[in-house]
Amino acid sequence: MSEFPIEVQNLTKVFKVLHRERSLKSAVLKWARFRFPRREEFTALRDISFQIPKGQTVGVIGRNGSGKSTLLTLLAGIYRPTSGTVQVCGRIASLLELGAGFHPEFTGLENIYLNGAILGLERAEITRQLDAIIQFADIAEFIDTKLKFYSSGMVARLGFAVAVHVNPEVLLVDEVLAVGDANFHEKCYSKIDEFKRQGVTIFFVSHDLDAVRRVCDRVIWIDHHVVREDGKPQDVIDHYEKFEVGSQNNRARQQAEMTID
Amino acid sequence: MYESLLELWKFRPLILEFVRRDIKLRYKNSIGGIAWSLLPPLMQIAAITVMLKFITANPVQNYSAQLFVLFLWNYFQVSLNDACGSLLNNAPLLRKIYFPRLLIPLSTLLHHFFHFLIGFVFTIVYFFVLGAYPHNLRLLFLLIIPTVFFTFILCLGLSLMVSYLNVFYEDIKIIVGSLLGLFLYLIPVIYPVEQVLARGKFVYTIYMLNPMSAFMVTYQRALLPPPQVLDKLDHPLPSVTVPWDFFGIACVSSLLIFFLGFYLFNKYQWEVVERL
Repeated sequence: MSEFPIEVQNLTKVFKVLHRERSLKSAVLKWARFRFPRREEFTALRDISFQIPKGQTVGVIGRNGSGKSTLLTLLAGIYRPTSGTVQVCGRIASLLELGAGFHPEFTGLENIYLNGAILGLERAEITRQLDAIIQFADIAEFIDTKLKFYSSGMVARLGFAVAVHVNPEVLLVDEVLAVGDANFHEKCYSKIDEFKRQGVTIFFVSHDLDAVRRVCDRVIWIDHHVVREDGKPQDVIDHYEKFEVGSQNNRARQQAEMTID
Repeated sequence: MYESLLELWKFRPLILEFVRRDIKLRYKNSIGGIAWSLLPPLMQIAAITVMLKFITANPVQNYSAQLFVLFLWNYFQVSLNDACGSLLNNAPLLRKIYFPRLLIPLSTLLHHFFHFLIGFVFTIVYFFVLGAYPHNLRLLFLLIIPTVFFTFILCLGLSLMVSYLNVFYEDIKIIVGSLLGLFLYLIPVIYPVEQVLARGKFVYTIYMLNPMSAFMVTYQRALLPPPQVLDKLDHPLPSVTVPWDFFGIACVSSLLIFFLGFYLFNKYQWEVVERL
């Protein structure tokens, strides 16, 4: 295994945006006129490079729409980069969504198996970890109840419980810890601390700067689709906060000027 | 190609889990459970039997037993129809977790294959009850295995093509659904294949080049010996035995369709996810 479980080099991701709903009719018409649908391109990430050594916890911050989630999706292998390379080695658990594939008609137990399989666990493995999962989610008495009768907090807890029992080498987390009550929150963070001790490489996308400060060894700030800063959490977060406040003031001033005009 | 197949093999626990999910879900809230999967084809067989009895001038004796090939056709039709929309139905999952996308149409097909197996076992039991078996049970019966296998391959190839296309153009599902309804008349179900042969060698050749016709006839002949078909003047028509040549052609064309579908699906699978 390489020294860097996550290696990203000159990564650029361009999405093709279609402005009209495509339909067969329009496609045939276009084709008949030797014209193809107009395509616009949208660059979600431009020339991103970084390496993450084993066991490091990296936070990614930035405004909405700056490309954080796209980066995570690329790391999870769901999209393919337009150019550049993305390499992730080791067993990945991607918490892009809690309880991926959960089905409301299934009981909690059935959903554990389904979700576990989707996250890459084999049935025997799940059976072995079953008690731990149920205990972590704290839903023992509802385990045979259909998921549609669960509260949303319970669903999230179950999803998180399955995901953390995948025993990953690389953990990708996207803004999913903002669920559940304080008690569960605490549990999640202690689990993350445990992962850190075990040397799991964690890639953590969040808007919760306090959480980032708390768990991360390094922070990458993505602004307008490029890496703006990459360094110690305290420095990067300070700059980010200053910048955000600054741009808010700017915007306020601009608005004030506009009203004066 | 080899690599994608290897990857699929690695993901087989997930395939099984998807199949298990679909089977469980289908009759989740019904008392009849899995037995219900027998009902639609049986109703169809009953309806066609009654129709033929009253409408045809010279009905074939015991034709309803021959109609049990409908289970195979039903399998093909429902699978293709479901696989067509399968990527869109699983869009939330595909957008969030990586696994070979081929798993989605494949597990849809396997799920329906399970229902086909139930129908198949029912067919055998019914034939024993009817008295058609065991004396009609011949070595030819084993031909069912390759027939069903290649039907699956054909269906998978077509499914791969229509499922990715359906993400780009949702019209595909509607077109496929209607065409499949029409296709029932292009295969020897509501009429015996002998009547096609009676129209001439040329018509018969064209007809049998459709892989599904060849598979249906082979399946039918493997289950039971050919029926005695009479024309309007009560003369017996020449019967069709297992069409080895057309069966061979159908197997080859199924493989070609499968490779084409596999190639196209792999080529477009990345674009598909961005479009979901």
